[in-house]
Amino acid sequence: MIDYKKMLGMKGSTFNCVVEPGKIKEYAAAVDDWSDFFWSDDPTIQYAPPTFSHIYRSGKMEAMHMADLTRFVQGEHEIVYHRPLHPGEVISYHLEIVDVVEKEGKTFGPMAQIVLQTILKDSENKPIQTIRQTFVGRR
Amino acid sequence: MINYYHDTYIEDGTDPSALRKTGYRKVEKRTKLKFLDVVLNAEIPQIRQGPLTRTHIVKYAGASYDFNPIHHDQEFASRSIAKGIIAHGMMIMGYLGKCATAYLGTAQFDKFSTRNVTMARPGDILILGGHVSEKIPNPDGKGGQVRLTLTAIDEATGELRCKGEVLVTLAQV
Repeated sequence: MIDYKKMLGMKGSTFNCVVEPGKIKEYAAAVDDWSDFFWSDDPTIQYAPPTFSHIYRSGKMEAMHMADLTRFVQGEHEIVYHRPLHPGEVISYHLEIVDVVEKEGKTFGPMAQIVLQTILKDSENKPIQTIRQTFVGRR
Repeated sequence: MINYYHDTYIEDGTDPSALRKTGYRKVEKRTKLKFLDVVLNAEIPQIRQGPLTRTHIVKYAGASYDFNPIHHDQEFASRSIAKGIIAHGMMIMGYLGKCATAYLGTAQFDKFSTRNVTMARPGDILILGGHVSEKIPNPDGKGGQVRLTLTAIDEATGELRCKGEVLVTLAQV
């Protein structure tokens, strides 16, 4: 059995990426959303779909490397938006495990719940989104 | 500029000749909803999404860079805990976002959360919908926040696949 408590405070490395206008359209097509503000060629009008930030989520595996991910499923996903995400922006991802709860499940025995928080920041280090993902699995 | 995506019609098995009659997908003009026009408990217009195909799932994998083989490799998926190919949870969240966006006329939310309840698989037809569960007027009486409660339900079995919430700020008029 793995001691998941040790994972609390683990971080992924910070990295930068550029929001590409074509990637916004590709993502909008993949969720079958034809709203004009995703498909505009004007960078002041176009902005990213609500779940777009999920695509550059590298660093998750690094922060979660102690967990046996084959035993885990993603339960909840929550995004708090501080402002819209526009094409051409350089953004950075800051990942951290902010909560680990170990408990005894009635059906599955020892369980763990891991909360991964990602803060998405702009080039001035101001937050754009705060994302919380909850993973639930067997220990 | 969007012509590149127009050739993806075959993902749902549509006969290309049928497309000439129905026409290509067009970008839809959205107008942001006003706080005054939102009625508490009002139903959100339903969207019938699907049937989901492996091609839809692969398209989402490519767009999101999520290449977990449980979403496209039949052999791997059969041996996994899912016992077969399943759609990405984030793809269903994306569909719920689309449903809220179509109703609200904006995708600039304050908060968006979902919980995956059961796994979505190829063949599923998802009924996306929900209702207005809360209206929070601003203290100054101009505009406010609206909370939507959303669900994605499999049409054939009636099973809840995913449920979610969107919180959004709307102007008064």
